[in-house]
Amino acid sequence: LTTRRQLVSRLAAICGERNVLFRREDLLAYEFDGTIEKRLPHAVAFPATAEEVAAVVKLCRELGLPITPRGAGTGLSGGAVAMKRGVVIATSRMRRIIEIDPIDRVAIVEPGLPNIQLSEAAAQHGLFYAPDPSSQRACTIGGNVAENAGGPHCLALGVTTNHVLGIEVVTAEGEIEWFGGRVPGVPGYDLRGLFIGSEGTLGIVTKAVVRLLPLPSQIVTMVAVFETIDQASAAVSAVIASGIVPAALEMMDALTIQAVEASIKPGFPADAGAVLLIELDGLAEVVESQAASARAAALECGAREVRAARDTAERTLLWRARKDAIGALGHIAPNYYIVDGVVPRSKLVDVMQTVGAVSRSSGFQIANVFHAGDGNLHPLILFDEREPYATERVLDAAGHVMRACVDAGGSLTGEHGVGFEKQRYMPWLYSEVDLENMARVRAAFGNTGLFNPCKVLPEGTGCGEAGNQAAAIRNAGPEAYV
Amino acid sequence: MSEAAAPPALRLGGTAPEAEYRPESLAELSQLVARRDGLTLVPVGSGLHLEAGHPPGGPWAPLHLNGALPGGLRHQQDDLTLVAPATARLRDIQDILSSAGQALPIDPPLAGAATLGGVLASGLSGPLRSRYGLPRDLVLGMSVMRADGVVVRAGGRVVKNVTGYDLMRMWCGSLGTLGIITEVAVRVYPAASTVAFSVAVESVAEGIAIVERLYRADFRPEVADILADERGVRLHLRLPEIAARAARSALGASANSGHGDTDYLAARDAGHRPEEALCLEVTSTLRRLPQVVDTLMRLHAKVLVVRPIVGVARAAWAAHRLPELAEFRAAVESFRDGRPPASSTARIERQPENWDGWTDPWGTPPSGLAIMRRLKEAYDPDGRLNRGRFAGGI
Repeated sequence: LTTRRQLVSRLAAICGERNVLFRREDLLAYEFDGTIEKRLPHAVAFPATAEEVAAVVKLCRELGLPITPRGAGTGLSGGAVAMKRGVVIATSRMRRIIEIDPIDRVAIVEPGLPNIQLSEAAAQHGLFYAPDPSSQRACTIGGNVAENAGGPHCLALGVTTNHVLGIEVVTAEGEIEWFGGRVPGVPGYDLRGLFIGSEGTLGIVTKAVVRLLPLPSQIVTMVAVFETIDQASAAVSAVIASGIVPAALEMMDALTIQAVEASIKPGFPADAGAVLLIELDGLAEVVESQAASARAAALECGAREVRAARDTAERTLLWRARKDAIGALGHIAPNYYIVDGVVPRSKLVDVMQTVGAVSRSSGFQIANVFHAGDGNLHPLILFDEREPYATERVLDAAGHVMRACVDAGGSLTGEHGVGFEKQRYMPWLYSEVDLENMARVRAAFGNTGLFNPCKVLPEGTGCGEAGNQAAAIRNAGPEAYV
Repeated sequence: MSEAAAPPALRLGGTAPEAEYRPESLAELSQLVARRDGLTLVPVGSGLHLEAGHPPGGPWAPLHLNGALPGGLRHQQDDLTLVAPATARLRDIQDILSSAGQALPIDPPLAGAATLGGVLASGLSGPLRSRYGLPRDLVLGMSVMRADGVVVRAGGRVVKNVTGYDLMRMWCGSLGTLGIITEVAVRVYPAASTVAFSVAVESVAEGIAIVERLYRADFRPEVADILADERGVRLHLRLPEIAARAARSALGASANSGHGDTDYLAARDAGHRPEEALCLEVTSTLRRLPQVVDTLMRLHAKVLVVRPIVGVARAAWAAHRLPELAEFRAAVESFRDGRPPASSTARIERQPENWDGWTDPWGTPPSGLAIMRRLKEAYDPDGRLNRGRFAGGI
């Protein structure tokens, strides 16, 4: 058995004394991510190199301690919460852009680099990095790789796995390996593709080689205003059926419109039932013709107004309304819980009606702001955690929404990951045999059960009862056993 | 679903099969796969690309999947998705889709007769890759029969999904060594109305420069292949209608679109036509691509196809005009960059039978081989499926 004092001194020997946190007040910032799960780790280590990461992983394995990788902590599935305590490995000291090659259109970056900084740096070469989660100002490339993150512009361009060519990782076993390369087609199984989206259960990314794309030559961003969600959903299908794959196709419902109008003021009519943000990009002539078709399709479906952003400033404002919508909704209620279900596009209307029904039966307001083009819903359940049993009731309502998505032929999560919070629902989609089959991957990467435990696949004991914070805090003294 | 018998002379690596299996149901397939008779099974879809990879590592038997996999094509038109048994021919899939104004942008060599499962297992791709990515990028979900005869599933049939491990990417390109693909869900696209045309260029390098210019200027070609063969060097383009007009005027191209389809098929099928015996695909960074092209030119390939947007150069040689084995090997080795992250890779898609053992069709995985071996061990410990045929001798 190891005491916390021993653990901290050995971590300090690897990462340096200043790069290990162990005091309770310091650890509190690392007990949660973007969801409602909380768990206090024993220590947080901040390695600076792949070698240091590997040494920390090997140390934890030697001591039999759980490991939880962490980027910026913006995740929305509890993936970075140390469900079995142990050591959190944070990537925040590894945030360099090692290389941008404008000829090969490739960048090599460290995992702790915030997503937006990569696109900002690439812009100097007329390039950008496509995946753009709403949290892109904070979230890291390493976290994006772990979650296979998406974003509004993934409709046309694909998600993280389509833009990461290679990764250097420290596996759950503590070995440094490269998967993929600067080009696709590296021989062997596609371990790169298998690792991306494995939610930090197979290892930690320490470098990523990413593909950069030329900035679009022309962009048109349009707002289509509708009376109802149903009309807006029909317009989504009509636009896509017309043969266009827009760069983005985003929906906001009445509650979201009111919230963003109150703070960001993008100029949406206060009485609108839904707005669609339609973005088209490419060659000027092509964009012009597509914009005309999209406008016609929206009007056909009952849009009462379709207007295009006149300039970059207005376009930026519209996108701020979309990307900061969740923050704006935070002004309506003290807490929110965000669902990430996906449905086949043809079921959008049905499932949105179910979401409305869940809102009425649960008594919670539910706002909707989502990637309509890929059928990726984000019902946002608004609540106040101080009300008795609010958290339990919210999770129950979220479960009903996810069930409706699965029943419609969809899935539990489109981009936020299964993490801790959805693993219990995995049997809705996969048989026991399928789940055991997935678990073999974990073993092949050397995860014996202590590398980001309680995530992705349903697990038995030691995961569900995170509530006992008081005991956790009592046990956090320097001589407590870890 | 009965299929014509495979040619009687089906041989791999100079050896004839010990037996030949044609199960007629999924249950029969499962029993057969789970059996241990000392043979390693070589799953066969259309049989078009059976020569991919090393010869089987031991006595073997072809396992014909046609007739074993149930289910027809299920097209969800409004959702732009399709679910198909792995033995569905690409031609039949395209027929169903095109009647709804949609298409599956997967076009490996000899695409029409190829089966969806076979294409995904072998990891081959074609000209449409420049716009739509690799075939594996279109896969939404899969069912696979493991070596113990059990069918497992991953993914789903929605276009965005991160529920569970992305086993589809592990299975795609694994040459059936981890399991036999039985069913696939794919994303399809509205069929864009496009125009195809070819323009003569001075050299491959000039073609690359033009494609680079079009790409940077946002023309978004569906196909942008440079072909160098006995008919000269030309650039074949396929673009959305409006972009095509703009591209033509930018290139000052005359209206020689008559060769459109011929050039497309030439670019797609290069290396896999009956008269060809050797086919190499090199993938490299753009920076390195001209040097790769030079090396391939020096080996006097019969056809050279360069797909600059994705850094691909493909070369094919006729059976009677093969390069010197030693020279060819040296070139291939020079493309296989040792230190990760690799900036070029090379795969021999086809080679003459008597070259087996003298070349490595895949190259050694530069990293992660131990994990790959453990995956094989976890899913097919006895080497029942395509034993020894994959990279690293897996």
